[in-house]
Amino acid sequence: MARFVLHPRVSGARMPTATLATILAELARYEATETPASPISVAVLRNHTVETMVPLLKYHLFSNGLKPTVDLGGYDTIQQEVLDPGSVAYDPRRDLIVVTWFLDHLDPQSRRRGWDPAKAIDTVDSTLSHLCERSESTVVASTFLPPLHADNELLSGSLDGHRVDGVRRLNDCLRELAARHSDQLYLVDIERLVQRLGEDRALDYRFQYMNRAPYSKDLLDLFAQQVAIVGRLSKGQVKKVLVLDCDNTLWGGVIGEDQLEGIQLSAHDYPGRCFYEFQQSVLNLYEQGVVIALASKNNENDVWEVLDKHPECPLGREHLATWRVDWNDKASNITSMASELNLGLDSFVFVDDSGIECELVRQTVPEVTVVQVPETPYDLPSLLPKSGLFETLSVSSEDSRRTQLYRAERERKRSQESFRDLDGFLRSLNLRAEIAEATESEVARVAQLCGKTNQFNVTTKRHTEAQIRAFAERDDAAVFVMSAGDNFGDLGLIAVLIAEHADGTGTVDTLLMSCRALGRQLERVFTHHCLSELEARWGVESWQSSYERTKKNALVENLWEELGFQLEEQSDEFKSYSLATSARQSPAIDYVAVSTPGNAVC
Amino acid sequence: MNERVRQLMAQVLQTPMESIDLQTRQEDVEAWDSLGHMNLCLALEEEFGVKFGDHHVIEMTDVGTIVSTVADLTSN
Repeated sequence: MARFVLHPRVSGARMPTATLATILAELARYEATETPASPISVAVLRNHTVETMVPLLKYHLFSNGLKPTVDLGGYDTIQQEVLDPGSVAYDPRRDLIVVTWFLDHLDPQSRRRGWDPAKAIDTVDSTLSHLCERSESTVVASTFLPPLHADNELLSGSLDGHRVDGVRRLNDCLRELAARHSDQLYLVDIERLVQRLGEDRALDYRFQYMNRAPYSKDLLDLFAQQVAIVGRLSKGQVKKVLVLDCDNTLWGGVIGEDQLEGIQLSAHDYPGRCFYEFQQSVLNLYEQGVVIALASKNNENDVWEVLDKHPECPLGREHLATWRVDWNDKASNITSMASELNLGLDSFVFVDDSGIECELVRQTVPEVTVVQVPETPYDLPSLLPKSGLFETLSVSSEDSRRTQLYRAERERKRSQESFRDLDGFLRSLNLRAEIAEATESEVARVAQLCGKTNQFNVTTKRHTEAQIRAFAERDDAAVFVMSAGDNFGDLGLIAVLIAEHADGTGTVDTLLMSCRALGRQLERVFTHHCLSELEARWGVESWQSSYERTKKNALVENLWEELGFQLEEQSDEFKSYSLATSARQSPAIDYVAVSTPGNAVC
Repeated sequence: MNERVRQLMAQVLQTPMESIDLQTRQEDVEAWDSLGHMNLCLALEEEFGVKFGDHHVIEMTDVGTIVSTVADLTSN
């Protein structure tokens, strides 16, 4: 029987946020547990009382898989701390700096008729510009809240020079700053958060006038959630795969029992519409580049019947990168999809309505983020957007093609099984690679790869767009990229090599490759071409390179040895290598057609 | 009620529950400064589903007053 009937427990307009006491208890539990989470160090600069936010922020950072330290700047000392190189903002280990201004405290004149925002704009502009130039940390600034109770309320939307207009100009200044520092400065839109909660829940005038603490605990909680998401993304921890259950998740009811006509899925009726719109939210993620997969206990043909034949099913087979529709346990199925897609389990999000399946996955593969379908179907369409799991810090055109790329990978794997030896298989792929120096339009993609490539990454240097641009502009440095493709489709831009030289010695700063391109020997071809090109250009006599161990890059532990480099020094964390250019050999690989900008396919 | 208030205070003010009784005053607990007091009020409001007026916030400077204030507000 279908589970989604009008639910009797429907009640309450209050958003279910956890109480301060609950969060403090959870935080104490997190702090007492030893976890392998990567550390994140956050400073909060503020001109209002935000002490309540500190435990909330720590809690949300823990929930995002990080191990936080949070330091609070002095009360109303934002400018001083930004100007003082010894301040809390410039701690060398700082990952993230939060800046939050409350307009009343920044410029008390803002409460008066005829307020001129020029001074406030100047302060905000110079403070944030200075901070972004001085610091390499990611910066999160909150926007300014328009006055909720203005004089001439009725005219506030149309009157030039009204206070509301002044705040708009102040926020425009923030947006311009964020565009100028697009790989460093991110904004939290406080106005939207206030909208979500409503004024009465978002602002606490009692404590604003008693303690200069205008934001309620619930507003600080939402603010902290957003900051924690930026924190997670700035550490390169991106969710890449969405694994969906089918019955009572993609549609209401059980296809095996209710049949095609009986399941709830419709653009018009309740509750079918909730599932319809949920599927649309999944399609939005697909277009954003999230890899979509199914894990369902069903007969495979029943599921295809819905995806192929249901007249109002937005999701189709073509959107899926892979699936496991069988009776195996879902934890093993998710693990096997992770190895098929060459993606880490910590980049997986699993959505299911069954508490038992959710718990099984949570316990067996704790790296996977588990989201349980709410019992109220009308909360389903907003489930994924509200979770913040698939937020991104930048959008590149590469993203939107990712599922297609993984799909092609899947077909490649299938065809691999029909070849007896690897060489024969690779030969049959008609591999092609285009190797060139990165152009301006590729910088965002290079930064994205530096930010999130974990496995095939020898030094794991998380270079930003600005740093990559700086390498590319130097005469004594170069940034190479490789795009590749084969019979099954384009792999896109999948590898980066950054090198520099001085006094006849070349140094490889970065060598990384997206894991979707593994197993084709493309890394050998790529490295060889880059190094040959640079040897001719710079006249280097020897190369130096290194391997820096992380929790995830064991894959390339012996890459330099395989490429013929000599091990020089070795510790648990680090290996350094060298190789005389005269001793470097070209790889004996003849099944990759390489093209470079100078010459056609060679 | 006493227990719940003391437990909450211990949690918010990061202090052992045994060190808090009805006679404990604000100056006896190190973390019970003005910001600790604000967090305590917020946590009490959430725990007991009440809303303090400014005079409550100002007057609740010892555990006995907190317990009687919460009792008053929850009985109405």
